Amino acid sequence: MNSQVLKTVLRSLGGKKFLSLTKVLGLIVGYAVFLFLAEKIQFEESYDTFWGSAENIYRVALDVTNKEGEELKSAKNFSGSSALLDAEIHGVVSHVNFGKDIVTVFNGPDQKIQDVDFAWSDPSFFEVFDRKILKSESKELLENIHGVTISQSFAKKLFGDENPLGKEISVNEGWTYVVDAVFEDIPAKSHIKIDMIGSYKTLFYYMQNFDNRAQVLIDNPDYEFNQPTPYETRRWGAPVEYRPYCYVKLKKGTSIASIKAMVTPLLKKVALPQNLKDSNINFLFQPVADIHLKSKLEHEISANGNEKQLLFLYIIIAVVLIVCIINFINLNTISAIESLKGFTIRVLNGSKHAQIFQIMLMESFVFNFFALAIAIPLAHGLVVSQLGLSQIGNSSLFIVLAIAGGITVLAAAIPFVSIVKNRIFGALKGGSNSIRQKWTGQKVTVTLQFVITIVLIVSTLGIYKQMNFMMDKELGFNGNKTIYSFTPMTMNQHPDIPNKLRTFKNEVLALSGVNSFSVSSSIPGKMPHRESNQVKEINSAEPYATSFNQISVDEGYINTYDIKLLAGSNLKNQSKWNSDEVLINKIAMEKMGYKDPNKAIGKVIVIGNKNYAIQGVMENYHHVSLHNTVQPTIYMQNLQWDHGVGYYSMQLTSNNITEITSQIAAIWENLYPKEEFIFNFSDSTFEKQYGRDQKFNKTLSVSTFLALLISCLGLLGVALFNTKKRIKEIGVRKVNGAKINEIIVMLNRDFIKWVVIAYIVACPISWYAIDKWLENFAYKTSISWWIYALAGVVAITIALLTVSWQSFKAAKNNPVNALRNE
Amino acid sequence: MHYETNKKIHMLLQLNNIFKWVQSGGQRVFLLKDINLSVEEGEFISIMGPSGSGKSTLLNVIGMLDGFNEGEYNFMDEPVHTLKEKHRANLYKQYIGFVFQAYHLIDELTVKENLEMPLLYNKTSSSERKALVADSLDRFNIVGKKDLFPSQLSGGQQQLVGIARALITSPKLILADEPTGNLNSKQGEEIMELFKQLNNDGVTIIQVTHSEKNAAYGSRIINLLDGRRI
Repeated sequence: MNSQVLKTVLRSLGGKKFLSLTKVLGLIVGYAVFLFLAEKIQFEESYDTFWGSAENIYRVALDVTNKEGEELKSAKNFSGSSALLDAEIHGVVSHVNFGKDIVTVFNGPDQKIQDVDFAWSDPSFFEVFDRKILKSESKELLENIHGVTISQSFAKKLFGDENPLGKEISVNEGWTYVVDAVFEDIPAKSHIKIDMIGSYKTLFYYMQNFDNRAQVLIDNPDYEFNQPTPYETRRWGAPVEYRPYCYVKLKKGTSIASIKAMVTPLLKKVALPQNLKDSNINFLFQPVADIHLKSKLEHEISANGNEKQLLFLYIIIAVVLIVCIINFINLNTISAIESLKGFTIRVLNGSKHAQIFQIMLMESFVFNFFALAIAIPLAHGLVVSQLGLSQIGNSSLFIVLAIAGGITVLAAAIPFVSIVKNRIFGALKGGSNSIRQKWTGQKVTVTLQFVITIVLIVSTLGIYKQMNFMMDKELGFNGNKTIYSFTPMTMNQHPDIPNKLRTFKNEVLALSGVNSFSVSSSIPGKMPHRESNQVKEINSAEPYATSFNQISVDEGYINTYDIKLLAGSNLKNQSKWNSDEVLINKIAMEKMGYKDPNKAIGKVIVIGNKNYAIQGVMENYHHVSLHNTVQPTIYMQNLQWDHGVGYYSMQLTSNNITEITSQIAAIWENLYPKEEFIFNFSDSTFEKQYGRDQKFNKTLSVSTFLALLISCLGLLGVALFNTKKRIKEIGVRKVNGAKINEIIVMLNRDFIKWVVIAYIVACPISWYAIDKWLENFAYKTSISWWIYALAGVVAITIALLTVSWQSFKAAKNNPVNALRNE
Repeated sequence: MHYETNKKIHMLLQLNNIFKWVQSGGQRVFLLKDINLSVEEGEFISIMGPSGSGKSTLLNVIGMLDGFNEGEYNFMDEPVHTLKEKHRANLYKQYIGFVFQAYHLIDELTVKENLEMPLLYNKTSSSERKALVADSLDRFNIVGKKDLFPSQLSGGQQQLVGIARALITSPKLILADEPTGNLNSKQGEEIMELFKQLNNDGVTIIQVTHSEKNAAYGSRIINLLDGRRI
């Protein structure tokens, strides 16, 4: 290779500016999208792979079918499950259970951190999930009744650079702990998010020895932590909200199938409670690395990723790459045609064919090099800002380099073989005017690109429609004038909870801009965390077949959220927020076997061992997002603050939000001086539940845009090729009387034909795709005809705009130039 | 054309002091220099001159495919130099037919379709098109070839189709740029005989040619050198 090759290449690029720009743009988009998505896929797929011998860690999930045939597949299991496996099976090295909680942590009077991920567990946690214990005093890990272990980053958040060991912190109800150890952070790429671990030993000690009324922990030196054996009934009786997540670690090489086979015989050794004896119990063994993408059980720790979405990313990657390669080859072919004369002259002057190929290869290389030089930093920016990674992984870079190398060679070789070698002497005779080649492959690829693009456009519109549907759907409650705040944490440390609450309520209701007030354990838009499958009718021995959600509310709840009462009456105003009256929703009423709401009023149900009278039946409303069906729910007036953080809700009538909220804040600060009044609007909280959908919608919109862009580049390439091929014909037609618009129509007709074919192919595919996606929602919109019409119009319009410009240029060209005899 | 009956000799076109140049390296390079030319109806003119003397350029200017920088051009008493592009295009579509050295038939169309093309663009009705194409095939004795593609014809036959296509809209003027340049001498002679016959039928012809022999078919020769008439 000599320097003339590079010079020729660089000069010829300058001479073909538009073509060069089109080529390089397509490659940049392709490479950047590839790098970003490859990183994103790797990110999603590498969840929980970082644990030591992750391949041997399994979550033991529960699959239980009761005698009514109702099946529950839960991520939670009975605490005896993993313990039983550990005790009985040789191949199980260790097990751990943990119960997950979200707590508020107080560091002295000044610092309060909300929403801390807390877990009750055992010392064996770190046997299963290997984390470096960074600082630990002589005490055994999680053995100290008053101790907790916290994560490195949480320690930093609480104490900065100070030594966290020995520091005291208190949690929610005022239970105070000493920091005993600090563990290495669990990476974000895990389905487990825990910043604080306390031991079950501690939990049971506090439960037994903490005097809630006096807010004092009674010292009990005789306490001994005796976990029942896995064979005892007590380990298998907990209602679902008290069940832990259970994990086992297997000996290397132990087959999971052999363990599965042993579960049923092992369960025979256990003194199961009656309801479980009548049920069919199975354990689901989930490899820990599969949980994020594959597990879709009830009671997951947090929302998992979506395998379908990942598949979608794979498809985008493949499509973008294929389209990109085809485009580049198409455009390179045109470029070769333009260079044909120069090549021919070289050959006549003694150049070998190999040397011509060298020039083409060099040109192709220069494009790929430029494109990579721009795409890599671009993708780096995206990866850092969108995924929070520090850089692009080496494997992705390596793959993209390999692909670029492949494209470089391919994009030089294909035009060389198909055009240059064949026509190298033809060029001097007829010039590029006489290309008569028909490349049906081009038409097929452009059609394919448009199929994909149209599918994406339809899907985007479909998703947009569903999002709108969800925003507009009548939810059965009204949250747009309702604000809420968390209940003040300091309430829990005070003996006069009801008094303060009553004062707050009365003062707030006295404000002219506040219509109603409610205190509750959950509000619309927040998952209710309690449910029970042990609810029964008073005269019945057996519980109802259904599990019921439970939410603690007061008498203000239905007014604050404008929920309609179908029958009966509202809860009575109780000074102590504790009564045996409950409200149920319509679906709960139906599950209890009543058709007429009035028939349900006054009926008595038993939850645990307390009796409750049904006071009213409320219309079904959507407590959580439209992904879920309305669940049967019991609204109880039992505010005992024993189920985590609750909410104050206030319905405002005033339009001056700033003024009214500052008035409320003043009342708040007077009563709860240590706490800040932070409020949110209920309706925006409800909409936040669709964050994931909106993110998906965004991804899809961007993909659609990119696909459209790339398809247009492809179309442009083919249009260039096509007009070049027909330049003589255009000249002849013009001399024979064709007008410019007639030429444009003639040239465009072909392209439109392909787009129409693409549209016909795309319609059923996109219908299927949207239908699949809508399966994620319990309540869905219909796919209307206008979505298809609009997608078709958009695709054809954009295709026309892209092509017409080329067609116009070709049609305007003076025929003299095309028909000149050389 | 009311005046046609009044005049004995009908002037077809007139070029007065036509200049055409291009800018190259800051200098004007003249393609045509001070060309004056009058063509009467029924003439058969041959333009001659060495390569680069401006023959084709002059033909393109006359055919209104190409513009000029200075001078006046009247075609059938219409001042072409003042006409708008669209008007000018209408003028040449109606009155001028082109014949090329490389025939310039459309490869994807059959002989019949090639002949039909100009009629499609001037919005001739379907029945009339059929009649005109049939007449033309008949007149040039190529009925048997009507469904063949250009690549299936010999050079002479292709040029025959080219001429037939140029004549199908009944133009007053045929402009032929080296019509026999790609043909062998026998085929060339036949084409020239055809031109002669067309001229006798009243069609005005201007041809560019290198060949003295072909030029001799015409009634008048115009010689060009470096864009100038000599």
